[in-house]
Amino acid sequence: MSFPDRVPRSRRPASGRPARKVLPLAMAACLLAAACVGGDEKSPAPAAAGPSGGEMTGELVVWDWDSAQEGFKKAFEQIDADFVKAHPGVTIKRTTQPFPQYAELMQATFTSKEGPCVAELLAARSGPAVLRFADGLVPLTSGITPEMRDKLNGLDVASADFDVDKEVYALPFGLQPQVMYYNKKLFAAAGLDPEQPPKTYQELEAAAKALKAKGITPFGGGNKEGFLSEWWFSFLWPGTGSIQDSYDLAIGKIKFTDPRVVETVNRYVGFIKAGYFPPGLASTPSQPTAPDEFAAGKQAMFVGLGSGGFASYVPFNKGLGAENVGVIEAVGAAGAPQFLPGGPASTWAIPEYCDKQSLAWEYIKHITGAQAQRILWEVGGIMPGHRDVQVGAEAPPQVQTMLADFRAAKTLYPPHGLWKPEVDSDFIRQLQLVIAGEKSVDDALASVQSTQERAG
Amino acid sequence: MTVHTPPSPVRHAGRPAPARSAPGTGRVPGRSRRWLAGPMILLIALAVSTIYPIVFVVFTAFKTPEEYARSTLAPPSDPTTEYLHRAWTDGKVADLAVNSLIVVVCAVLLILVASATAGWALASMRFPLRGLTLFGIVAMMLLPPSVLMIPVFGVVRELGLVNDYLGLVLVYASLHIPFATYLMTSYLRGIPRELTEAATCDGAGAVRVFTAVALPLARPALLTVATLTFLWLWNELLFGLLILQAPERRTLMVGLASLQGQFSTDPPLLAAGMLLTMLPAVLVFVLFQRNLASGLTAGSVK
Amino acid sequence: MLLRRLRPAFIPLAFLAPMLAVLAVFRLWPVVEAFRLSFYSWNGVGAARYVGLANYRSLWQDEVFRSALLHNGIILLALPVWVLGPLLLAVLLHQRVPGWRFFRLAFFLPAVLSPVIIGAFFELMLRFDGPVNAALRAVGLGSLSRQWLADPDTALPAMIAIILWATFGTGVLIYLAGLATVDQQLYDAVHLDGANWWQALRAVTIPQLRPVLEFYTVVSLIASFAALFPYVYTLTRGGPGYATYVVEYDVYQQAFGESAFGYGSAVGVVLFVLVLILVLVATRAFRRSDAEA
Repeated sequence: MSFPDRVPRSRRPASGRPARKVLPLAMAACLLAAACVGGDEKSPAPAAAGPSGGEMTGELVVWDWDSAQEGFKKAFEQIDADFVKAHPGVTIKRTTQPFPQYAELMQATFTSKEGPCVAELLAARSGPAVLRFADGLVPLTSGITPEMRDKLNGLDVASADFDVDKEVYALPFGLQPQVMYYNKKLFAAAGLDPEQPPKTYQELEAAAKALKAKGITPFGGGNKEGFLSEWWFSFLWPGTGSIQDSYDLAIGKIKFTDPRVVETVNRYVGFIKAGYFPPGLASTPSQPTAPDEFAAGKQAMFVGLGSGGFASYVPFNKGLGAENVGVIEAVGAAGAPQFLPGGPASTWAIPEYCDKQSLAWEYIKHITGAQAQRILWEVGGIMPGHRDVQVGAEAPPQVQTMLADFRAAKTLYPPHGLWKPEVDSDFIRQLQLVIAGEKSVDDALASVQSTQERAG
Repeated sequence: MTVHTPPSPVRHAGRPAPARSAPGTGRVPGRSRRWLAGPMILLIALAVSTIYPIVFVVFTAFKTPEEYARSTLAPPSDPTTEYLHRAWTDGKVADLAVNSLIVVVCAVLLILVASATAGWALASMRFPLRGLTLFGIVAMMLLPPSVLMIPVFGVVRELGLVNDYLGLVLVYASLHIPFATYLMTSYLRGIPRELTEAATCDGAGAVRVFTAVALPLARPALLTVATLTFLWLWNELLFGLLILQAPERRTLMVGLASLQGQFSTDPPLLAAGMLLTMLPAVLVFVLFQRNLASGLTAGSVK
Repeated sequence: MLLRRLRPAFIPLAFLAPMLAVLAVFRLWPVVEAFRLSFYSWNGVGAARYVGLANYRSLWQDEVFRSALLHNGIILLALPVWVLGPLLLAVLLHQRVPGWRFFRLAFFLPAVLSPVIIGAFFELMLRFDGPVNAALRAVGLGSLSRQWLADPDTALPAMIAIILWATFGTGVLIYLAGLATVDQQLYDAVHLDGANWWQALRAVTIPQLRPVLEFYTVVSLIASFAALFPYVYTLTRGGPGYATYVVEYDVYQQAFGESAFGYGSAVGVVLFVLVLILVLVATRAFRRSDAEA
């Protein structure tokens, strides 16, 4: 048995390779031209290349984990049916894989060079994520059009070095904001204005103090697995760091011992030490207990998700009443936050062993297109990551607000998802030690920094 | 080896016959059993601790997620079979259980054959490198599955056995043959030489000695191997996931694991799935162990 | 002529053949590959890069690995309970106490439960406001209540206790099967001499069960290093911090969490050598006491 070697370039199907250097320039030129000429005029899209090769008929195997959920499953059924209608002779074979073992499964497919033609992957680097498997994915760069760059949210976190001008490995799909929900009733009970949630760190701290004074637990959450620490970091960081800072932190240009990072972590730890979280924080799992408690009105604020049925407005509206659930998208240091944390719900990529790359490319364009993302919202409940898709007036108020704000502002996939997996793992573990009182924040971050440096 | 002494109550006037101990219990004859009261409490306490999680799983399977969130430990106030039903249909339990059964039963049979024959050779025969072989087998148990997963999968792929029941059967067998062989060797070592020599003197060949003498005596060990390996393989997830990828060929555990999404799975659904996987396992255990019990009293050699 | 000379070797080989065939292909070869991989750096997807002993050198300096080793060492301290506890219970059950079959089934139930359920169950039990702490507070021992699995000081002992709970039923099963083959006449002889329960245990049971004891000791030793992963993963994921991080978990984390397959294999190899030495020591100890007996 020979070691799996990278597929030699000669074996990769011709994908307009000679044109690769020229196309980005051409696209840039077109963009410039469009910008100069005026906003509404659409320049003709250059002949998009993208992966090619293989038959355009037959069975296309697609792997995902999301179709375990009823909403997604139904949405995919419609999306797939639309694709099949447009491409006669094609059948989509969709296989649901368990999420906890998804990374192992993908590893195995690369070893055996056999597997799906289209794979769902998380963005950036955390978990079964696209950038971790980049070596084995077909680059989509040559097929990225300016329209895609404009309309699709989160192309950067599916690209090498988070730079869309470098290689793009997957198309993003859906919008998943990471926001803080707050209980308006509890706010009112503490004397806080429920329609004017905190906008800065100081206001957040003041709100927490006021709530605690009235015997209300300010923040909910469970840190048994350690995830709460990274979610809070991503929630607070936009107040201090910019999108570029987030990239730099992930690739090592900014250290974890940087004063801005230290300040952000200290805020979070400070809230814990001040008793603003439930006492059982360290042993409460992040699911299902923590969001259930917030939905039952036990705490006033909760860092959760914007889309879907978990830790989102869906259970919270049910438990607390939609008029009672408010959203804080991010908080700033002195003024407004530098960006809003939220990115693609997931991405779709083509592994290099796929033998129907043209078809797969058409498919992922379809599934991330406006039509499909509308179905994703209407049937699956995931906010659309395509700029052209609006939500109807019947959407809950929180969704209307979040979608409008996230479309208007600069956004980035929650920054902790950009970190290398070993750095992420060390970060959450070190913070568990800090919370348990066994380490100082400075020592913890120094340790994370040395992990970052060792990871190279 | 187990000596079956016919009960012969010796009655003394006025006194009840001393309790004749069942064969091979090591019990002190005639001793009153009140001394067992203390230990009984320990046994009961332990049993409660091991049964309670099952009770918890059963309770949870009949609740709704809301009720679970409200009263996690109490019995369901308004039991619903909705999640059991969902686990059954979404998990395609009926179909996948058949897959599991095929793969696990075949693997267990293979393990029994391989470990019994090899165990006998290692326990009773002299041949060069015998010590090294046994040592090597034990050493095979030493690498955790995480290290072996990708290389093993590579082998399966090279042999063209991905998505083939045979591939998973062979991998499953390989997972536990070292343990099973080691166990059989240890047990079979205890068979006295006189018995095998007697059989050989009667003109039995090696195979007959094995089948007529060794195997019957090794019945408790064989049943133990069968029970343990069946249960371990029934619950196995990772290799099943890797090797039988086609949805219709999946094992039961893999099918139920697929119900777990990226975020929280409803606890009742998870519990219902677990309940459905546990039932056959417990059934197998009860069946095999009943045989084991009768094996204890039946096997007699003189 | 030659055939007759070679014939004696055929029989052992024929008996060993099924085991050898399966293991050679599906176990031995992958083990060799894993060893080979430890000299490479590989992320599972791209090409593997030869790095010689670099992985081992990093391992030597890896603080996390060192604390993982320490934790495995602590788990070893529990080995006597792991091995002997089930023996005492098996002896008890073997006395045919009322309901012994029921107890045997009950004790084995944790082995039937998937570790996922065990993890979820104990997480519930040992929470800050969970039943265990509530019970402690109810009897006035509230000061003892803590977040058992989330406190770096108690996480490892708690995890060890849970693992002992989950595995003792298997031991009971194995010992019971062994006890079934002990000759009753030996007990009768000893009891005629007036031996009590404890003396019978030492004089007859333990010597007769020596092969089984050795077997279960070795198996438990190996399990404590190479079969705990499902429990660690579902109970604590090696946390809080690195408090329950064990070497086996490091293998998984390196290989699948951090896509460092070469390094993960190196950790696996070190684990392998370490446990091999321990197994040799254990079997040697048994042989020596066997010779003395």
